[in-house]
Amino acid sequence: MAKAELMDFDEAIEKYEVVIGLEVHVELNTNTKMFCGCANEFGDQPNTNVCPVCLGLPGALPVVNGKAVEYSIAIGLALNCSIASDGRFARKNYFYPDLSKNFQTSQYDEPIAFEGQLEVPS
Amino acid sequence: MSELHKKPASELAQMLRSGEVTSVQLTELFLDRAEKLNPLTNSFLRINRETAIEQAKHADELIAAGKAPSVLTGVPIAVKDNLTTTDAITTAGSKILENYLPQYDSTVVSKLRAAAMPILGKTNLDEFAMGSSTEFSAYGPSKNPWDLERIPGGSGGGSSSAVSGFLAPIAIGSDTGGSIRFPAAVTGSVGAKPTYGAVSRYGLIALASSLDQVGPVTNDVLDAALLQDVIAGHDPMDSTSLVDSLGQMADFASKTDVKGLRVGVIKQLASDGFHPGIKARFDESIQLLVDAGAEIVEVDCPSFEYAVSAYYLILPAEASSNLARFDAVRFGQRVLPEGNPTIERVMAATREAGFGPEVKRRIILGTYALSSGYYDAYYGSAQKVRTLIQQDFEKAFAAADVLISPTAPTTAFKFGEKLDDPLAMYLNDVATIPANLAGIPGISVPNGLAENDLPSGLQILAAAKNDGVMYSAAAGIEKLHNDKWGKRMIDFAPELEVN
Repeated sequence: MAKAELMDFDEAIEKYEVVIGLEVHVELNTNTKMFCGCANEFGDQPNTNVCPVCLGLPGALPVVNGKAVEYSIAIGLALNCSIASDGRFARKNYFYPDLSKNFQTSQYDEPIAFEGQLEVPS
Repeated sequence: MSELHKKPASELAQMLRSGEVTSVQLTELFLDRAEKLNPLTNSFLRINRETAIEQAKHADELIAAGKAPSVLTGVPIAVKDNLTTTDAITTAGSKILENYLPQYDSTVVSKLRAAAMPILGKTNLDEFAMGSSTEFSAYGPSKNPWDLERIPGGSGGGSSSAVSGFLAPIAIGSDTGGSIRFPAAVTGSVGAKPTYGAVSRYGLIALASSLDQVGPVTNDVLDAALLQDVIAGHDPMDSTSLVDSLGQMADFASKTDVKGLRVGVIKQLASDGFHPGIKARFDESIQLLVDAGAEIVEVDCPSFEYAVSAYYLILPAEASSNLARFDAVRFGQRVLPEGNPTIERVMAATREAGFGPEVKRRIILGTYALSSGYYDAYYGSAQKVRTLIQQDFEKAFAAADVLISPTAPTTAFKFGEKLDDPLAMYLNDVATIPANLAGIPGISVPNGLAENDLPSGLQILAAAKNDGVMYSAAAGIEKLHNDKWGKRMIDFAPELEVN
């Protein structure tokens, strides 16, 4: 097998502009979970802070946590984002045993906050 | 008292209040009929004698104390088996939920309990409400009381056959593309799909979330209105639930004058594709309306041509996602494959064994339509058609108060007739699907006997949140028909007899 031809690091830096994307996860300190009324508590007994909604039982429906949306808007404003007048959640479908409904409910093409900027002194 | 089981719920409710009959007596009457006749019709997947009698005793106590919480308190009811009940196994007509006992009551069932209406049992349906005949139920088809060799409509054929066969006075159904209205049409009964959001979907095992709506299955319009009043209302557990009340439907259903009512006849649903008898009964009903002083206008809905195609992209797409949770991990059936039982292989084996052919067909269609790179071409295009259909309706409702069409192209067909031809089966819903795509209310009322001396249905549609207008028009047309026939159409149905 032919050996991969790797460009020299200094040469690459010289030739290309570096753009780094960051996916940042933030755990919000809301009282309840994102889509149901269960306590957002860690360290409790297993199977206590669960309900038909977060277990994805047949027929259960999600209701978005208003406080979490408020926090998202606050983070968006802090990052100089535009704030959408309405938003949409999308389903990311894939099978995984710890994913109770086998889809993630997240935002996709219509997020709450978008086009922000944060200047970091270098 | 021999014909007590044929009385509408509104009359039974009056008899309960006046003390002529008790809820226990009524509940026992219908339980006896259900136990005797269910071997013929297979309407019920389960009959809950013990819990129903308990609930009836409770209702009698409330009535005796003058504390009846609802007009329908004490009237027994049947519930489609895709609504969760904590005291009865809920299968949605699927093997994958065989023996599944829910841990919570659906909101609609909670409302029935709060109204102290005894639940007789859970009714049959096509698996996960996918079908038009109940032939796709994992527990065998239900039979049409008018002719036991024919389908009772689907997916809610259990509820329609229970009500039209008088195994239950009223029932609950769900309608995603016509699953309440089509069964009503072919069994000579009444079925209403309220405005999307009028009735909570919490605890309704989802088929297609943007189309599903729970509604009443009854033998007359007033009963449907009374039942909608019990089950409707805002539910904080359903984000799509309407906040404002649409009013008391029973009040609207008591207004039967159609004079001056602007009735739109949908051009696209008044010509091709309907059997001659269906078309003849439809034309006669238009004449009845004209004679009674209604104003008939023709409305053009050009995008309806694409409704079935759009529906069969949107529905499978949503269903494939909604049914992903049936994976053997937390509840329901679990099938172990031969050899090494990795999680993927257990999920695959369970879904292979647990789902029937129509469910698999739609999951495959939907997964394909949603797959990366195809989303815009399929789901996206279908959503655009949906918007066009909504615009067609908006224009139509500027010219008319209600729109009418035949509910279905044919009367009840025989078992097996369309089983191997999915497209023919899908076309049953050509007239009912547009209402689901637009979220508007629709009702099917009996429209006289057509092909093979079997019932046909008339569909009445109203603008979103105008369920009251729909009930008034339906009650008006029902009265014109009953005056003409001398009795309700359901009273022409043959008696069910056990040999």
